[in-house]
Amino acid sequence: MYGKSRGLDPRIGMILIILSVVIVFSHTKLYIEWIFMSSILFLMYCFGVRKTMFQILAGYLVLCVIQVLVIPNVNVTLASMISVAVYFKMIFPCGAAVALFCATTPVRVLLEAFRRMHIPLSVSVAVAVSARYFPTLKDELTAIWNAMRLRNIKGMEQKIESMYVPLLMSAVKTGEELAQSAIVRGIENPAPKTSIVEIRIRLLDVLVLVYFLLLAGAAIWLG
Amino acid sequence: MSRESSSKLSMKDIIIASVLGVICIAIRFLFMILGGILPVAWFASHMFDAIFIGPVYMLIVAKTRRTGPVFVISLVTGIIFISAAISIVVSEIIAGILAELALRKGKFENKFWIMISYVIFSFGFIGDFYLLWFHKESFLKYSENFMNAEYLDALSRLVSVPTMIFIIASILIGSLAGGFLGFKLMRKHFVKAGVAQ
Amino acid sequence: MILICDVTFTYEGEEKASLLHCSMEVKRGEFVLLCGKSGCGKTTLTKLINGLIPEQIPGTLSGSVWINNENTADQPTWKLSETVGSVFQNPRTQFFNLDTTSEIVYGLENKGVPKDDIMGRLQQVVAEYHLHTLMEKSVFELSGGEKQKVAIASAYMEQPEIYVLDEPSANLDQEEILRLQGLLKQLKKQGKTIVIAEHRVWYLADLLDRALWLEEGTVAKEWSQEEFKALTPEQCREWSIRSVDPVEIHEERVQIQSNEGLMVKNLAVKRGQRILWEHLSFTALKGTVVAVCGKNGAGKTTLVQCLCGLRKCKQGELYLDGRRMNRKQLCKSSFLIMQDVNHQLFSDSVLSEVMLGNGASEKEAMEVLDTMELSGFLEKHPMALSGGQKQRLAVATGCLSEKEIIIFDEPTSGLDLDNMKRVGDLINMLCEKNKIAIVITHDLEFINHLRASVVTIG
Repeated sequence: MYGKSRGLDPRIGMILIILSVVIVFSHTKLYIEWIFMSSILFLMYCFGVRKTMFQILAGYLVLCVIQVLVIPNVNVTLASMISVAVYFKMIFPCGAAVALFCATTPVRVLLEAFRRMHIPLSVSVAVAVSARYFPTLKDELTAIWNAMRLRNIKGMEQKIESMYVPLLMSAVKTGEELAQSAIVRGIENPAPKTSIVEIRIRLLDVLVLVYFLLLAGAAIWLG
Repeated sequence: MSRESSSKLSMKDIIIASVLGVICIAIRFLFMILGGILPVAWFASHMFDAIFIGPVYMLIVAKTRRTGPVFVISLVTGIIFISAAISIVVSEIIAGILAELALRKGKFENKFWIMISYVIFSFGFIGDFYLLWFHKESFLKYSENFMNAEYLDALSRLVSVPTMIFIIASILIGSLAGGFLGFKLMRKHFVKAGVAQ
Repeated sequence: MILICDVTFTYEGEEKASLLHCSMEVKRGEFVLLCGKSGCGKTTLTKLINGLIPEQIPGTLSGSVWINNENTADQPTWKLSETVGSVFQNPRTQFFNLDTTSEIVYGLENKGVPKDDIMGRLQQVVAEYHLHTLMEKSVFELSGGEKQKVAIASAYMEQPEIYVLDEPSANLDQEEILRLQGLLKQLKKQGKTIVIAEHRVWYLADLLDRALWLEEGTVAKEWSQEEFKALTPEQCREWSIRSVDPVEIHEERVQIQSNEGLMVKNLAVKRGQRILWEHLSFTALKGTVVAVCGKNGAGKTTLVQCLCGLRKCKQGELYLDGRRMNRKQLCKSSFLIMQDVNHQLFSDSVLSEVMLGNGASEKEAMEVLDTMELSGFLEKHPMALSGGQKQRLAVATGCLSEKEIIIFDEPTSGLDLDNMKRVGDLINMLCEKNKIAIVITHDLEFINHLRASVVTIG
């Protein structure tokens, strides 16, 4: 059925992200981090986003390796610089929560959540347009890069300028055209909008929420 | 009959600002990832952000000339990077508001105030470092799990006030450079081509 | 139904008016074609009808526009959109949403129609338009024809009385155009009022009630259906109208095997996991034109990227003058005029653009610009030029680059007859300079005009 989120209700998903930030910054114990990471990876597995799961797992393991093997074996100054990777590892679970959210929540579902939460239309549109433009941006960059390869552009300054100009011109044009497409479909209609997307908080959402709330509580109390 | 200059943000303004905002965020993402590969580069990444986002910011201001887009972009950036640190949202909101005020002071035309607003805008991202610097203790405690005292000392020395001052200075320089780059590209290309005023 | 009274409109920043004392009337249920040379004002007219002008597009407007006996000046664009459905031609920005279903229901959602009513209507439209396979797909995965289908369905959802279309066939291949024709026929049967601005007019000849020819911003000539279909090729040329009869490719020229020129052997290309095509071989001699055509989605753009060395081909070899070429060498020897020329203009003046990246002297540059009719624009910013001028600028850059292979990606999309011929002349000029010209196109009239040898893929 159209509109059912693959994973959590987006509102729960957003709360989860905030909880993840709380958890990460309120403890210093490693085992809490492991429990947290595995919980998120487990959720990813359950919701069928295996590819993302492996990517996150791989990233985490790389950071672990740097931490455990590399740092103790290089000199102090270098180590202190690389050790910022430790900071990244610490906040990695937040990134994992965000990845889970993005992989299981289509944009239309997120926008419906915004609508239900009475978030102002301008913010909603900003998010929608951002999601809409991102893939287009990739295509544009590829096209411009290809065009540059076929020309012999010399000099760093010239190269940078050459990337900017077509990209920003195209971006402005795209923005104006997207705006026209939206306006001609009635986006400025002041009547309250409806949606065919359905979002509902189910038992699963409640269970997940309770679990992570407990985890957060444990982190604060024990950490 | 041209569009009346009202102070209300129109849908078109929001959409154009969002598109350009995506470019800003993409640039931030790019340098954040580069900073992840070579972590000391993370400290410098904000400076590079500030340099490269300059032209985009100038274009946003020129195309919309209203209060709102800069704040929305700051807010959205903060939300997107919330997983890096919740303090980013706070610093972005503050920076967004102040930057908008600066723009209004200069009526969206005065170059001096536009530059000021861009510098403020560039500092919005600094919440990134807040937790590292102001919660140094807990970070050090966390690192105790795998590093001995010697390393912790060195780390402690790195995460310090002088480094912070260095970072702030670098962002300041970067945003000035970015602002001037923005002015130059505006003049040379966008105004000349009639895309903006 | 639609009444345009003495409208004059000038885009902001332009000196010349796009519409000059233009008046037009369209009755309910009529199918009207707007045609004319590029820049004649037909697109501006469509934007007047759907209300984008003057609310969204800055400029000076005088005169009035009446839709269903109401002045459009009194109505905001969103209100007008309930009566007027719009279908644009820009595939990249046509859709505001990320997936087809969201896009199709978007209009009704914005109106605040209750969910059940929307679902009911959706099912109706899906059945009527046979959209079952296209639902819930990402808009980035659709072909040109599929996009147009979704765009029309989206407009159809709201059941407007008037449909306004701006060159809907611009990016479609033959088959897709016939399907578009079918959809328009359906709409006409339902008694809708349709205004369509087009260059490729052959597929509309049987559908239109009236054809209006615009020149310099005003309606200069009008034909009924019989008169329009009876136009002879000479008359078409006079009015710069593309063929009114369906077009087919004429005979191909015989392929001559030779070592001179570009030889493609056994090329195969993958996109992702799919093999797009295999065993493609052809020769393009120096001083000749080869046209590559095929259905949309067959992989023409991928082929172009392979020919330029921008992409690796799964198998196959390319030889230039008998020498095997690798990717880097191909990059050095080919130049591409992209479909969206905006991606390849980098500088801040026409003169510096044309000299960027190659070692040409100013004198040589001026010569080439002269042949491209760009001498009057030396200091102008490339992005401020018109579409055709930008294209010629890109070709000028290609000429000066001394590269041997020049490839054109859909150069005549959306061009009228005169401009199509101009592009043809450009390509012939390149051939005289002994370059190899390869043109990717689904414009059959253009291929016939070039008398090129044809390679079909897919």
